[in-house]
Amino acid sequence: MKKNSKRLFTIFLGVLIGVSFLLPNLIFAQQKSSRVQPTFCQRFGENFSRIGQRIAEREKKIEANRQERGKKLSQRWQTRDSRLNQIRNRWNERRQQHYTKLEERAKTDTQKQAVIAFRTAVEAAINARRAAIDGAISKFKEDINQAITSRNSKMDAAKEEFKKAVNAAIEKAKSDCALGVDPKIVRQTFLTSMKAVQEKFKNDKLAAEKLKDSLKPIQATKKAEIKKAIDDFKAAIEKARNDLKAAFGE
Amino acid sequence: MKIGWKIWLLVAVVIVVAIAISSIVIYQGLKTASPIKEEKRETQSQNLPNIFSKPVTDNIDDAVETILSEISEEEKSFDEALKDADLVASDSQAISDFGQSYDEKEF
Repeated sequence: MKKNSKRLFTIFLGVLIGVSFLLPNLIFAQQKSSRVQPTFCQRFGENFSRIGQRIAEREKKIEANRQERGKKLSQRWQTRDSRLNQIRNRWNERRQQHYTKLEERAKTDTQKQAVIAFRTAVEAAINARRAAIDGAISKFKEDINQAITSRNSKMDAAKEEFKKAVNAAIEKAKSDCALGVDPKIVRQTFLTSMKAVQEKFKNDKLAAEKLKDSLKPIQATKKAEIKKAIDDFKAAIEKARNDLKAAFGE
Repeated sequence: MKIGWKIWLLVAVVIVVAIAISSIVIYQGLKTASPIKEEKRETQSQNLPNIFSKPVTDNIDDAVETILSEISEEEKSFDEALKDADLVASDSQAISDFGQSYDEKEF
């Protein structure tokens, strides 16, 4: 009997300790759930202005990114064009020196004529190749500018839609709160609307990303064009070499 | 006591002079370092390859070799131009951040 009452006392004590741990949680959980509903409508204005601030800040960041991209592209183009011009000038000078040496070597009229023909053929081939490369680079610059313009306009439209949809969701929530709709329902409606707004923006961005992929076939075409121009050039130079060698009896 | 005070004064003057000298040295160093940096950036584009190591001869093959060697430089320039496509989507992160202007946890 004494043993049983001791066991009962131990179980009672255990339950008591357990309940004393759980009770505060239960009470706070209940208080919390009853607190969530009014605070959504009460704190709505504060949270709304926070979204507005973030939208404005991040829009500025996009603009800064765009300007940085434009600057980077112009710098790259300028540096590359200038380098290519300098290289070409150095090759021009070097070629002239070779022509002079070949002219000095030519003794007969046939050889002299052959050097002139070689020079003419080489210069024509170089001009054709340079024009093909310059044309391809220039056209690709246009394609890039076009892709950027198109991306910017698509993203600007998506941003505007996003802002409008956010404002509409906020206004609806504000009006529902003012009309005394259950804050729990107002909150849920707002969250659902915002989720849809975010999803729409995400999809709009994905569509704009595809514009970058549109440059890939253009890149492939340009590469093929350049390869052809270079192959034509090599063939023309080879012919000029063989003709000249024949005139010099090599 | 009087001698101790004079020593401290001397030490202070030495420290002040040392700081002044080191500041001038650092300032001068920075002043001369920055144009070099700028210059480096500017001349980077003019850093051309020195491939004409052979003397110019009257040999036909040498002339043709020089003529053909220009191709690799032009191809390089063209390949670099194609890489510009990567910059089209360089604002991607900023756009994603814009879409995250709303945080569900705040509501």
